[in-house]
Amino acid sequence: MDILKQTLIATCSVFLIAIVLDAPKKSLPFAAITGGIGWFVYLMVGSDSRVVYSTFIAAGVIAFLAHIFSRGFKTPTTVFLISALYPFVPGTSVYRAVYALIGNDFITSKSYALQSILISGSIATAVFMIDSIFIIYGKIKKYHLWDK
Amino acid sequence: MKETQIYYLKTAVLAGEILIQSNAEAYRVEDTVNHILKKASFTTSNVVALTTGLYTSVEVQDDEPITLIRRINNRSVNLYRIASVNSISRDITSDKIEIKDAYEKLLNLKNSEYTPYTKDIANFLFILFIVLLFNGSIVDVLVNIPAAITVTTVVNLCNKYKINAFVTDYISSFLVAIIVTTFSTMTPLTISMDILIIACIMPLVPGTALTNGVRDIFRGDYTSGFAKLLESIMIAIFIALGIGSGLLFAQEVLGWIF
Repeated sequence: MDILKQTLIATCSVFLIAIVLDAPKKSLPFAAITGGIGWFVYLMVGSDSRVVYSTFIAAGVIAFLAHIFSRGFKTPTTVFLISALYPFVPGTSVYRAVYALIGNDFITSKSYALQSILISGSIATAVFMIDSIFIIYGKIKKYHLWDK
Repeated sequence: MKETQIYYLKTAVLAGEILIQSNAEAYRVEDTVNHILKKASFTTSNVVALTTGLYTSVEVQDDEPITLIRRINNRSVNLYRIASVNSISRDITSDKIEIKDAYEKLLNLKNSEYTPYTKDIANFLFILFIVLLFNGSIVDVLVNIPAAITVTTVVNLCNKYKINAFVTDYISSFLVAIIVTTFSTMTPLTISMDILIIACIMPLVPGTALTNGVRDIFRGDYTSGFAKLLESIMIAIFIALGIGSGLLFAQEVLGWIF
């Protein structure tokens, strides 16, 4: 029940950030759905202990959905991708790193700074992997390898 | 060079300029410009899209080559403009639209589908929803309203007067840190201070620059990719500076008063 509630909240917040980023009106609900499903996957994989791992999986799912929607609506992938990835951006780790730094706790600060780099890296790698899969699919389709 | 060819060139450069200004990925800019130029049957055409400028050069046989350069200073994410330019260039390549009409359409492209007022409310509500998303209680949401209003106002004002993104981020995170610290020390309520501050900085955190930068790098556009990555690192550093100085300031002043 908690997971469903959280997913609903994530869907709403992605809808709102899509408005802030000027997403086209007709793509708003689908950007929100992409974000909601991404957050659901993130929670299902387990959010507390393995943040980097679950962010990777969730970002992959989001990138996949963004590609599907962008093909369906003939809209750039970015429209769905950027809004849906917003809740995953490592604001928490950046804040914790700074907070620890002010308290002269360098070891905690360093580990949070590293975590924020890892989270952004995992988002980037997941997006890149799905991008490449779709590029390869496009090339295969272009050269009619399916027909032979 | 024929007149229609010049129109194609002008349209292509304008489309590229709008895309870079809306923070699109470099490969999308080059793709779009190339697709439009391909329709005009130039002998050679080359496009280089960087984060700070667009370089286009075309040649026609037995004629002088033409190069157009656009310097781009202000960039802000605008998904509506990216999507519109994309659909117009699709129409051009599939001959659904006359090139002159396309040029006019690009010139008169709306800035946004929403009023600034709607966007501010959306930004404000986004911050409150993020509090809930990170397991904040209803009390946290209510206490966060002043800080959320502050962030929204600062962002709105800085956009209006075209102030640098770094300054915007610094001022808003500085104010947020002070407001939230003051609330958590002055009121007897139990507030999770970290969730409130994190929620307020979420709309400022450089998500777009980071994602687009890495996508560019993986596609081989190292120059624009690293420019965007550097931008995202700079924004993160300025947010961190703002929070850090705000927290220190609030702690010192509050400790001095009480």
